[in-house]
Amino acid sequence: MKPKQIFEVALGVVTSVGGFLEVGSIATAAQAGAMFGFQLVWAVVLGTLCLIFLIEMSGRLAAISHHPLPAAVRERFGFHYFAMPLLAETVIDLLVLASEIGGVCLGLQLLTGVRFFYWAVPVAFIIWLLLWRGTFSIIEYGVSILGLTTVVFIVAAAKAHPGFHNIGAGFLPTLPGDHKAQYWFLAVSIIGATISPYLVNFYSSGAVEDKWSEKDLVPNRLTAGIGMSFGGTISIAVLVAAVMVFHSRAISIDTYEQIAMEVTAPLGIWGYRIFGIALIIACFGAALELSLDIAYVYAQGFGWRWSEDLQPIEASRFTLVYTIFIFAGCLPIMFGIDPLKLTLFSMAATALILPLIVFPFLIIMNDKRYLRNHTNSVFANAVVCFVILLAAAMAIVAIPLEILGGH
Amino acid sequence: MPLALFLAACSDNSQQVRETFVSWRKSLELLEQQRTERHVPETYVRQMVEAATRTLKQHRNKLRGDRAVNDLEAKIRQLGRGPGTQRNETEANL
Repeated sequence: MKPKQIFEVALGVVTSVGGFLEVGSIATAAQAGAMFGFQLVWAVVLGTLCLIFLIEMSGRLAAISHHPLPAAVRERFGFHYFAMPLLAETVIDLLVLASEIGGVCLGLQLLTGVRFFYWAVPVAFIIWLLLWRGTFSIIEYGVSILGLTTVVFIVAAAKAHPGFHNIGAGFLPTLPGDHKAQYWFLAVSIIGATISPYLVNFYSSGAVEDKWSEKDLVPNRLTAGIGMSFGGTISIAVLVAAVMVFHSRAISIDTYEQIAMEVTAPLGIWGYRIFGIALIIACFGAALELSLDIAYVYAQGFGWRWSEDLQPIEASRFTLVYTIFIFAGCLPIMFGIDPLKLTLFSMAATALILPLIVFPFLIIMNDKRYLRNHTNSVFANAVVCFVILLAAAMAIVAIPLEILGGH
Repeated sequence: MPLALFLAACSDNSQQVRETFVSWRKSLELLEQQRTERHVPETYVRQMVEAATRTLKQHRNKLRGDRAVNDLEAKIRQLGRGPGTQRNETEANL
């Protein structure tokens, strides 16, 4: 690789790491660690493995066919099919966007003491303003690089001295003695939080915005593999820190504010401040990506002009979509809905819709008209199929069980 | 878990509520320890006390006279007696 490509890979890895962690992955990993110790590490690993394949595939699709994923699905399957994932993604993206706005507001509450719902409208306005005025590079690199503050969880986990053999044991699934419904519900939520469809769409649309071509295939593979692995490591660190601080004291997490203690216990008051800042940045970055993602999906699906680098007047319908979504997304938080409840529900619901989005994607990735001689390997197809079917099956069983109050 | 609490509210599962109250008491004990070591700011202590008070008020009727309620109440009062004007506000809320 040339030095320029090495720099691009490094930048891609840094932005992937910075953009990986968000309100859902923090909440689900912390809940899992507090409640089930290291027993759900496997869910983070499985989700991350699947995400690596999906991200690599979406970058490859964009580099070879110059199609972002929604445009390819619309073209290959027609509008009648496209309407289904469009509807599912609209609902899920809205729920997840509300959760991310809630995460930013909670970070602000932690740092200022002002209740989270007062922050909903100002935060939504700043997200909208940055999308209106900013460029794709600012959003892709600026916010994601700041997102590296989430490394604080790795420092907190390391300072707690968890013992690597304990973490290693969590790589193999084991059932808890009690609270089985909650165990499966959390496993589904972790996978849903990790394999966020918006990440896949955003990545492929970004690759088209950056005009990727065949020469970008190797950097794409490295970015997906290394970046997502580091991101998964941070998620595991959140879980590990929660085990060391909460599980060891038999504390379950009831509100998002409690999660701060997994950083303050090993790192003190600076840990508290960095946690607040990391939560704001990570959720703010995810909210920007989600808002853009939904605008990408609509614009690409309906054939409108789209690009974050265009002036709003040049892509007015694209701009209108994210404007509506941002302000709709801030409403649940403004009305005081608990961000933690909203997040857990959104993440589990995400796992339910994954087959609807991923299976057409897999068909396209095996279509030589789009990928020429760069179609998927049997191994990649098998891994993605296995994880998505497993997550959807778990969601179908675990969500009703949890709602019915099973143990 | 909030979902467990929500479900408990629907199914009147007093055992789940008791577990939540015990967990909250332990959480406040950890907070107290961190406050003593100056690992957390007072604004955080106040937020946690408020969150615990909300949970207690929401579900205390399901465990009337239970030890878990009394223990959590005592811990909230104890933390509320920290620096500043927190005491009266917390005790009034309880």
